[in-house]
Amino acid sequence: METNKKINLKPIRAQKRFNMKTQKTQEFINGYLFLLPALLLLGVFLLYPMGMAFYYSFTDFYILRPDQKQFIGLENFTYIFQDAEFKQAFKNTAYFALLVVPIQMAVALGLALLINQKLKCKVFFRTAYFSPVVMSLVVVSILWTFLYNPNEGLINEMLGIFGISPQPFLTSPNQAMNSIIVMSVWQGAGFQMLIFLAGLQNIPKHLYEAASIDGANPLQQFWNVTLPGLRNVSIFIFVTITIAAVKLLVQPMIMTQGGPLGSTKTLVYHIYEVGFNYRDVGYASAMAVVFTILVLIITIIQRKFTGEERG
Amino acid sequence: MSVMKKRLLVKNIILYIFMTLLAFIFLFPLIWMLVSSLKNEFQIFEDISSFKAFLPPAPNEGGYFANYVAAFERVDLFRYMLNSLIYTFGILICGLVVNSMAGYALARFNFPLRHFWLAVIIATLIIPPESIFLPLYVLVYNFGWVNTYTGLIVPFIANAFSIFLFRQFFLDFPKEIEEAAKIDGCSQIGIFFRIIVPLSKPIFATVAIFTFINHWNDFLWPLVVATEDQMRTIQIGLQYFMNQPPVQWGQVMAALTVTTIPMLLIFIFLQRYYVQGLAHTGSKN
Amino acid sequence: MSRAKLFCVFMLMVVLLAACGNNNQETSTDEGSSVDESQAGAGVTELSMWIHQSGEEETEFYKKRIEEFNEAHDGEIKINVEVVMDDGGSSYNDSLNAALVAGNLPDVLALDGPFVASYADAEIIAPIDEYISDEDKEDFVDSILQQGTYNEQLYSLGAMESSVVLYYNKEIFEEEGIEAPTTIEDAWTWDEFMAVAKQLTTDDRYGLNLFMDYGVGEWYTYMGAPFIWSNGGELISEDGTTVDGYLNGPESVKAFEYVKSLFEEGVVSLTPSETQFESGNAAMALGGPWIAVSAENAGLDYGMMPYPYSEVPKSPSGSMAYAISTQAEHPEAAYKVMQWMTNEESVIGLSEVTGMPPARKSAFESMEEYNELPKKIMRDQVVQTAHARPTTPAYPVLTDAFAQAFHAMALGEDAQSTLDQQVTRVERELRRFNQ
Repeated sequence: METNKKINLKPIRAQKRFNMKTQKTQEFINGYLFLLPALLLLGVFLLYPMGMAFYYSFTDFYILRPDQKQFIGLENFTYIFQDAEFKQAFKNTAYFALLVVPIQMAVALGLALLINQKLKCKVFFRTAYFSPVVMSLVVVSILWTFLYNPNEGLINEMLGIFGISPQPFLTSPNQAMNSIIVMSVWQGAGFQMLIFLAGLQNIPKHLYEAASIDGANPLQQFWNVTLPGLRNVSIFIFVTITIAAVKLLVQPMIMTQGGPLGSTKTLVYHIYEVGFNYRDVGYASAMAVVFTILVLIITIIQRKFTGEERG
Repeated sequence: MSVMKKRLLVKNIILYIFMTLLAFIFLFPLIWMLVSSLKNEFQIFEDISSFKAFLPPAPNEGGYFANYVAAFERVDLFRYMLNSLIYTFGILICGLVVNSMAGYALARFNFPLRHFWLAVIIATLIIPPESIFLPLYVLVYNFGWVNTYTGLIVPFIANAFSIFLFRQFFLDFPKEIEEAAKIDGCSQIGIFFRIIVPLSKPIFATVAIFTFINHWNDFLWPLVVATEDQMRTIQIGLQYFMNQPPVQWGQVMAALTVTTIPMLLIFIFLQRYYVQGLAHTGSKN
Repeated sequence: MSRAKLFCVFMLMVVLLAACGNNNQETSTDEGSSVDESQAGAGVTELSMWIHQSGEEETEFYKKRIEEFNEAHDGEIKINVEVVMDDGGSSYNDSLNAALVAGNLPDVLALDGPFVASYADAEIIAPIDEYISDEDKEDFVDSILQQGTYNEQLYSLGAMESSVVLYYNKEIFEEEGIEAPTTIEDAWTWDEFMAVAKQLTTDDRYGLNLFMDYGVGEWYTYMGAPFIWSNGGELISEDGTTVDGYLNGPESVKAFEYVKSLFEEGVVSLTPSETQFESGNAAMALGGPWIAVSAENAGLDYGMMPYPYSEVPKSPSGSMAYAISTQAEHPEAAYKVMQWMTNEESVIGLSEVTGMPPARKSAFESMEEYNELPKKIMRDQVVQTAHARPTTPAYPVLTDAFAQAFHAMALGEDAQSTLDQQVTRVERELRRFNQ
């Protein structure tokens, strides 16, 4: 009996092993077959230019003399530490990101909670809150420049109704960045609102029912059911807003040209200006390399923290 | 009872007023843009510092659509619009195919270096595109793609964010359906395009909107690659209206309105799927 | 099984073709035409040319002139022109830079006057001294030759000049009983200018508009530099090797302090509205020739005065100019194009279309409007007091430094320390060219 079993099992096992093997190679082939087009395109049009930029960062590449670039070692990188503008741009970018990320997340969550109620005209409200995302940043920036005009801008006009004296907004080194933050939150929050909304709809209803049976009030429900349920969505939003925030460029470029007194010059703006306007591709590339590494580190730290906390 | 009801009613009224106010705060640039496109130059600036900025002009101001007529006469906006549509839809359609396949591979297949590639793809999100434009331009030039749609489109087909969104979606996609198809003997590619894609409309809609928003507003790349007049996109056409003092703001607003409408339409039509598709972004980080 | 497989593959191909097919078609036709251009009929010299996008009348005029050139040189030279976007910011230069790195520059290109030096320094554009006749050269106003000259060689020629004059609102001036000077000799000094500006400033009106709303950029340098020049200062040393002691020299500092005082006295706004001058909310304005156009459109009764001065009257100048690429295979033919685009007919035609002053003395003679007020002021400035912006390859950094400093004055910063700070930046950039 026992021997019989063994004899019977053998071919089956072999077949299983064979299946496993073919499945493995199959998955290998299929995996790369599916991935290859994207990898090729990313490789040629993103990683290769990135590699070139990395190479440029060790040269004195000047746009007007593309054929005369020379290897200058780490000179570009050491200058970064002496570059007062870089230092200021770094500070401005950090300030922007540190404020915009939590504020925008809070606003987006608030909007999502509002929309997630039983409402009439839900679609209208959702579309309305999302509409700034659809508009070009350039357009929105021009528009807000009008609104922020200290003399005849609509915002000061409205503040006047409440007896608040006119504010300088974009023309003051102290207020310019904050004004850009307000406008950026307004412009971008609709996008994250939709993601939060999707996350809210994914929270099983029975959790709320259970909580209300336990006698939890709406606030407790929010703390104990909603927020934990949004954990993963929040991490995703957190990481993507951060990356977008540190890349800030269009708003200061159009609204303030980085001023007044450099108070809204950001890292990417500085890189753009040095590379395109001052033609110093070598130094701009070096800053881009440093920038990328910095953001990479931030992202890894974020992942570590958010990952560890997860039960 | 009636007190409760009353309280609920009051609460609801306050809620709706609040939400409508919010809606106005978010909608006002659109309104301003639309309304201003109907006004003449002088009126736009006369109204700008009061709520008249959001009210349409009196009807006797000599033709509501004068700015539109003028804008279309000045510039071949139709051609620019067509170019923008080709550019955006080129990236969008090719991108949906390429990125969904990549996302699927990263979600489903177990192959060597899978996590490495995922990390690389996510890392590319960080690079500021402005910093690689020059080498990218040289590359595209050497391919002979300057002033072609190919040069505009191909570099942006593969997109890390899209791949990531697709991957998140396919992670949650029930395996049973594919296994059933596999037993029926369809190949992996067949399974993907015949079974998975039709069942994944929400994520395709999401990525489509996302890609559209992203590239419809592109400026620097089309500017540099498409120098020929008949290759220009609408965003560059817009710059035309802003390029020289005195700027005709009424025409700017008209051109802007024309530029913004396709985006709004696409969002309004696809938004139902959009929210569904985004539901998976948070799962299994 | 195999049928299903085939179907799947077929579907994939359909999707891919549908996605990318139409692009390829469009592409191939485009490539086809560019091949045609380079291999077209023997005997005809084909030239590529870039002009910058500007107002449609101006662009149409360029196109018309090029067409006429092609007709006049039928079977000999043919220009293929591309109109490249210029948003008044950096877009035209971004396009030029990209083309340059790829080695894709046209034979003849339009570029902004102050950039001539850097292109000449990098040997991207070629000197034209051997082609231009002395007689022809004599006819250009000095500032055009100044802006086109680098290391004592002439590289570029422009068809139009520009200037900044002091516009004034005639109605307000009559009310206040102020008489406007009509010649350079009678131009206001800084003190007179300040006194009048103060007198004209009221609670609901500024005395002066400096168009600070254009933003920190070329305008600040273009409009503001005469303050330094007229005070006997310079932005850069004569040999172009240093700005230390020039941009932050005592004459410059004093000039910047004067600018600062204009803001401190409240006679000029940092954030004027788009139409501040046209709508009568500013009594005077230091503006370009285009302000005459918009003031006329607004129905304003305006006049022009010469730019106020400290020691010597100076006024802004410079505009787009043409140059020839060093890679051009037929430089003589390219020069013919350049000559054509800047000959008397082109210069006069362009001036009529744009309202900008012409670049040739002979054109001033024959254009009547420049022989009477108000435009006579513009002519006198272009011919007598125009000063070109510095011809240095470090110009992009220098102009940004100047603009930043000018803006800092408006915000009430200290002149000396602001300028010292900016000088450090420019000095680093200059090192690249001083080796």
